[in-house]
This record gives sequence, C-alpha cells and structure tokens, in this order.
Amino acid sequence: MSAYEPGIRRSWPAVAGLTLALAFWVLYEPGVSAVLGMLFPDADTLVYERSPMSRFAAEHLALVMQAGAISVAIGVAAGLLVVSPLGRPFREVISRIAAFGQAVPSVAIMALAVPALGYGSRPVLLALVIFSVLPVMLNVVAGLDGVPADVVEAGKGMGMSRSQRLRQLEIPLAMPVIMTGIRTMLVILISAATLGAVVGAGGFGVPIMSGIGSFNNAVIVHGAVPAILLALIVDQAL
Amino acid sequence: MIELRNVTKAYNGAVVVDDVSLTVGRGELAILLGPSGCGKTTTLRAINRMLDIDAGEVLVDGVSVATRSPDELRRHIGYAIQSVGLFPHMSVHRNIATVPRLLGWERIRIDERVAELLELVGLAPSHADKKPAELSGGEAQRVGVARALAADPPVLLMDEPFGALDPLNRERLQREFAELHRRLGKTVVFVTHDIEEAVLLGDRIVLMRDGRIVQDGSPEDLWRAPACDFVRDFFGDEFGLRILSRHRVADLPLGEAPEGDDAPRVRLHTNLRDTLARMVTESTSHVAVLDDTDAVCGGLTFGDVVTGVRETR
Amino acid sequence: MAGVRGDTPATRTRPTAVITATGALLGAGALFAGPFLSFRPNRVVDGVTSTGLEAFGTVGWALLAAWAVAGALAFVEPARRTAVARGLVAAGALGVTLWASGLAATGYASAEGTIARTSFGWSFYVTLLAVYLVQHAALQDSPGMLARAAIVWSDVLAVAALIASGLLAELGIAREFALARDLFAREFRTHIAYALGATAAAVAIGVPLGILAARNRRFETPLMGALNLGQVFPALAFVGLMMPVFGALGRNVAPLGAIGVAGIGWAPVFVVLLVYALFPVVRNTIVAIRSLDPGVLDAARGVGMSPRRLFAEIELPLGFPVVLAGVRVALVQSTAGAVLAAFVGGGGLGTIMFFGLEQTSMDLVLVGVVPIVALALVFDTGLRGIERLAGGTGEAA
Repeated sequence: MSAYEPGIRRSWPAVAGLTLALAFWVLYEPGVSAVLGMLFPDADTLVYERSPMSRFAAEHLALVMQAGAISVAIGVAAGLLVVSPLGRPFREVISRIAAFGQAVPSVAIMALAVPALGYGSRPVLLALVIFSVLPVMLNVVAGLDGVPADVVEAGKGMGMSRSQRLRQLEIPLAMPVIMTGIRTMLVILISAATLGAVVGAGGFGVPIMSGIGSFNNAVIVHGAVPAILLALIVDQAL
Repeated sequence: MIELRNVTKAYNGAVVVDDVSLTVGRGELAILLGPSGCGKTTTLRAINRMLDIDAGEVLVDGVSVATRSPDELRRHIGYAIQSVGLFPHMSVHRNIATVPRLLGWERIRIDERVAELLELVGLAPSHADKKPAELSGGEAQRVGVARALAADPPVLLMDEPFGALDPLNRERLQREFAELHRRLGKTVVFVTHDIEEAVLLGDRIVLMRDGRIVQDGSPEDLWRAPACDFVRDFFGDEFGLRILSRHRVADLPLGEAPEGDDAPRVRLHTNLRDTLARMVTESTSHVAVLDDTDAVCGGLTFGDVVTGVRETR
Repeated sequence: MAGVRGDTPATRTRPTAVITATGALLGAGALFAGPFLSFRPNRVVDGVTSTGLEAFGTVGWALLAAWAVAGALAFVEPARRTAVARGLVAAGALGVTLWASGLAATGYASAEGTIARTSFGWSFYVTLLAVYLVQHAALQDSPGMLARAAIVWSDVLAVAALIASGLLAELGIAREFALARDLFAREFRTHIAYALGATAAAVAIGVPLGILAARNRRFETPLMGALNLGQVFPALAFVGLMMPVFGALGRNVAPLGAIGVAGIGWAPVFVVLLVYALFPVVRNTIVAIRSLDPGVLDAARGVGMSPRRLFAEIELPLGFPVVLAGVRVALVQSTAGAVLAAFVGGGGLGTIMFFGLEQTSMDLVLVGVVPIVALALVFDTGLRGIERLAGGTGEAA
C-alpha cells in the first residue's frame, strides 16, 4: 500500500558540494572555528578540543560500514531465504518480529548489550545491525515480489534453472528496490551511530553529547553538522 | 513427434485434464481450442513440464519428458505466451538470444541468429538495441515469437500468443504466423479460445471441454460432422461462414458464366466468404469467375457455394 | 508410468506446523543452553548464571514436557482443532517460566537479602520468542474470533495475575521498579506526552498539508522534499542543531520563553519528533487522496454532490484508513523516538534507561525499555484495530 516516490534523486552537484563541505568541516579546524565563532560569539570554546574531528569521522564511518556490510549480507540472505520455498512459511513471522524490533529504541539495545559485549563498538554494532537489517530484507522481498510473474514464467519456459532465473532476471529487476533499502539502511545507520557515544563507541555523537553536557551550543553544532552532512551525502548519492 | 498418453492432472481434487491422449505429427500445427477452464493450457504446459502430471505420459520424439530434466527439455522446445514475458531489463537482442546463451552458443553465431530472426518476424535490425518498454504490443509479440524460435527448436508451444493484441494487429500476426509455419515446418501446439483464430490457423483442431477431448479433426470435419451438440453450439452458426473463408473459388467445380458483361466478377483465388459477400452486396446470386488472364472461365451461383463447400476437402 | 516428478513437490508440510515446531524446539532448547537467570549478591558485582533446568529443577522438566506437547500437536491434523490447545500450552509455559523465575528469585533473596538481584539472561528472551512463534501459528490456524481472543488474552491474564500475586516481586526488574516507582510514574507520563503530543501536532499540521499537496503538485514537490530531508537528518544531530535555535527563541521571544521553550528541555525534542512524524502522516494523506478511484469520484459528482459533501461522504471515509495507517507509523516511531529527550534533559522513560546504564543495572534499563516497547505495541495494535473497523487492511503503511 501507499507506494510513494518522493521527487528527484541523485543530484551529483549536490553530492559534490556536500562532500566538499564535509571535508572542510572534518579536516580544516581553523575554518570551522571561524564559522562557529560568527554563529556563537559568546561561547568560550568553539570546537571540541580533546580529539580532532577526523578521528570521530573515522570512527563513525567504521561503525556504519561494518554494520552496513553485515546488514547487507544478512538482509539479502534473509530476504532470499524468505522468498524461497524453504523459508516461505517463516515469511510473515519474520517480518512481524523484525517490525517489532523497530519499536525497541536502538539505544536500549546498545545499553542492554553492554553486560554481554562490554563497552565500546561491539554493542553498538549489534544494535545497528538489528536496526538496519529490516529495511534491507523488506526491500529484497518487495523487490523480488515486484518482478512480473510472466517474466519469470517466460524464463522458466525457456529452460532457465532456478538460480539462472534468480541471477539473470529476478535480482537485476529487483535491484532498484534493493538499492532503496540499502540507502534507507545507511541513513538509519548514520543516525543510530551518533547514539553509540553513550556506550563509548565514539563517532560524531561524542562532541554532540559533550556539548550538551557542558551547555555549549558551539560544540554541539561542531559535532552535529558533519553527521547531518554525511547522511545527506548518502541520501543524495544512492 | 509429440505424444500424450492418458494424461491426467488434478488441482486440489478437481480434475483439470482427464485422461487425454493426443498425437501431433512432425510439422503439424495443432490447435487446442475450448472455453476457459477446459484444460487446454494445462495440457500444453504438461508438454514442456511447466507442470507435472499426476498420471499418464508425455513423449517428445519418442522419449518420455519425465526422463529429461525440465530445464534441459525447455531449452529445446520453443515457448510463447500471451503476456510475452519479455525481460524488461534486457535489450531485444539479449531477449531473443536467451536460449542460445543458455545453450552456450558462440557470440558470432548468436548475433547472426538474432539478425536472421528479426528479419523472419518482420522487424527492422534497428530494433535489436531497444528495450521492451520501447516496443508496441505487436512488436513485443513478434520479439516473443522470435525468442521462442531462437535456438531453432523442432517443437513450438504457444499459449494465446496473440490474445492481448488489438484485432488489426492480431489478424496480421496470425496471417504472418501461418505463413511462417508453412515455411519453417515446425511442430506447433497452439492454445486459443478464439474460434476465428483456430479456423484461420489450424489444419487440425482439438476441441476440449472439462478436461477431455470432445473432437479432434480438421475444421471441416468438425463442421460437417460435429461429434455432439456441444461442438455445434460452441462454433455456432457462423462456423459455416468461417469455413467458407478457408476455401477458394478454385476449390469448387465451376458452372455456366452468367449472361451479359455487367455481371459481378470474382477470381479463382478469391475465398468463398468474400464471394458470398460480393453476391450480397451486388444483390445477385450468380457471379462470373475470371482466370489469371482476366478471361471469364466460368460462373458460380449462390447454390454452388453453399452446397459445394460441404464437399470440398 | 504415473506420478511424474518435478520442481514442485506434490505435498508440503503445513507452514504453521513448521513454525510451531521451530518454536517448540527453541523453547525446549532455551532450558538447556545459555544463561536463563543470573544471580548477583548486589547490583554491581558479577554473580553466577544458571540454565533453566538448573534454576527450575522439576518445574524445568515439566516445561520441557510442555514444549514437547506443543511440538507434537503441531503435526496433528486438522490444525484448527489443536490451535487453541497449542496457544494455551504456550501461554502456560510463559506463566510457569515467569512463576518459576519468581520462585528462584525469592529463594535467592531470602538467602542474600534485598540488595540481591536475579535477572533474566538471553535464554529467557529465546523463550519469549518461542512463545510468540507457537502462538503466532496457533492464531493463524484458529477457527474463530473467540479462539483467537482466548489465545491472546491467556498471555495477558497469566502475566497480570502473576504480577498482582506478588510472586514476581523479588525479580531484579520488579525490585528496581519498586525503588524507582515515583520517578517512573513521572517519566512515563512525560514519555506518553511526547509521543501523543508530537503525533497529534503532526496530524493537525500534516493532514491539511497533505490535502493541499495532493491537489497541487507544485506545492507537493518542495513539501515532500523538505520532509524527506528531515527524515534523513540523524536524530541526535538534529536535536543538537535545534538546541541553539530554541535557546535563542526562548531568550528572545518572551511568550515562548514563558511556556518553557529553551535550548535544554522539551522543545527541541518535541519539534524533532514532530518533523519525523509529519512524513508518514503527510505521505499517507496524499496517497489516500490520490488512490481514490476516479470513477467513484466522477459518479459522486455526477449525482450532484458539492465539493464539501464529496469530501465528507466519499473522500474522508475512503481515505481514512490510509491516513490512519500513517498516524500509526508516526505514533509508534514517536514512542520509540522519545528516548531522545533523555539526552537533552527533557525527561521521559529514556531517563530511567540512562540511570540504569550509569549504575550498570540492566534491570533498571529494562524498567525504562519494557514500557516503551509495551506502549508501542499497544498503540500499534489499537490503531490497527481501528483501521480494520474503518475498512482498511491494518497492514504495513
């Protein structure tokens, strides 16, 4: 129901501009300092001083890329399994459990995983994967479902084996929908990874939360801007 | 070539094909005709194992299809369906080349074959690089037929391949296909529910109802000697007119030419239905027949046409 | 020659049987493997863990038998005859598991005192999954409304009765809840206020915007572009960005300052939740209006309905379930999202979660998390019910 395709996507000039802005923000601290100084003339500290932003960018990207790789692997496998004759009985129950997982705040999973996995990136990776597997899997399923039955039927009639039909017909035709799922996944990951700072996983969340803790708006913005830029780049580029 | 022996298939307890036996000889075009739900499509799909039968046996070239792997079997049987099922992400060229690719042909051989097939089905070579979305309904259907013929399979299965087309295009493709069949001599099993299409294409009509074969023969056989009331009712009163369209003036013994020069004229190759139409239009029951040199070679009366067609072969 | 083989097997195991059997296996396995309960002398120190069978003794074997019964019933045909029995066996297993855990906790507390903590390990969560799987299959096989209600309410009644009886009072989560009771009541109300408030505001703003956008494509493109952009903003960064904005607003605009608008507190979180909630509401409103059958609209105009009556009698009733599905998504999303408030001193159940994290008390974290999940489920189920009553599907939006 309610298939809604929001307007135009993939504007390369926008991607290039956003990427430049992100690079400036992460790599050129004096410039950022000047910008924040104009916005917040009263602030005593303008930037997060204990570590360079490049470190948080690296941590953030590492979290997103690791979790993303795991989620794509699991999500595609689960999607294929669920539409296969073997996994079809579980199709509804898996989507329901996965949808239920979305009702649990991602921070909660990070917090609850600490006793088992310790502080650091591991509980965050677990939470990120749990949250981002669903859009991948759902889009794999929706994409494969959307492949016209007569196309698959024609492939079968010409003697394509099941795996040939899957590789040559179903997956290529489902690809646009799967890519939408991967974009959604990355946006979710970038957002949820900012919360990882709560359990000591680093990332852009560290300066944001430090700024909140010290009532310093400049530092908050110093951490918030690159997180937003990163999310916008992914959204525009995929 | 194709032999069905006592084929039976049921879905959820309902018997869809009931003990059907049928032999289609090499080069023959057999039409499976009947109302929807009569089991004609199920019978067709049993041949290339798109579905598996509950009892009986299907032989292609004397070999039971059950002993062959479904995929390997289908690669050697052409298959065209009403919805065409062109692969939307592949070019026309790649679509047509599907089975040759599956069979591992060399590129040069595939390219030659695709060019040959495009010409055969009446499409310009420039169509090769188009995507299916850029084709009209008729063009897509031609590509579908070309794709079914790609690996030169001796057997072709067609399930209402022209059903989704507008009447004008449908008739044109039907005529072209009849011509193609005469030239290529493939063994074809053709499913349709369209009586006109069946009479136009088929030298042999297998009429089915409720999973059984009601009658099997030439259109003329079914018309002259319907096996039961169902056959008569199914074809209706227009059947005779449709049979007329299968025969030409030359098939009848000619009588005296009408007196005078202003009598309406027909030619030896005019079909009998058009001849009848001419009589109705000109309000006459007697027309002159011209031979190939435009000389009057005889005449034909209304009575000659309506009684004569009963005896034609 | 008969019975030709092919790529579709003639007979196939019933899907619900496979699900039930999987659930029964998980339920049984969870008693053997992994930590089911952990016992610690106090909140902070490490304690000992035990499997279900170790912790429950004879009761554990009874549970094993129950799961075996559920698994065996899976393959009894016809499925509808055993559906209620399977559902109740699973509900019973849930009740007995909780009861036995409560007993174990009471025993441990009487030895170690009230600062001792008995907590659930991951095998317990596997048991919950097992109960869900068996009951999900039972609900699908159920012949009627009454049977389905019996299965669903058996869980609720079992858990409610156990809580009311005080048998679970010595479990760690119950102890933490008792300690945090007053705080909990306050933060629970705040949390609901965020979720309902943001959703209500999203409906009040989003439905009119959606109607406008559905009728005017030139307005739709920038609106949906902006809302989509908002969806992309990472939550914490978005809130962070809003903080200086609302700080300035609160300082400089007196009436806003008077209602508590400030950089810290409810305002930035509320607005971020609102922006997130607007997207599904507006999108579904547009879809609801666009997907109306033009034939129906034409017929209505043809019989002389005025635009106002057309809206009231045709567009609204037909589009309502679709809009409601969007509202449901917004509400569930806001309920989970309101934990954000805890990051900026805005209260809500996230606050309790953070206290638990600071004090390394997972039981206290659960006191914050369990009600969030429960609220989301209640909202989701309730609104799906209304959607179905209104003629919708109650399925994904």
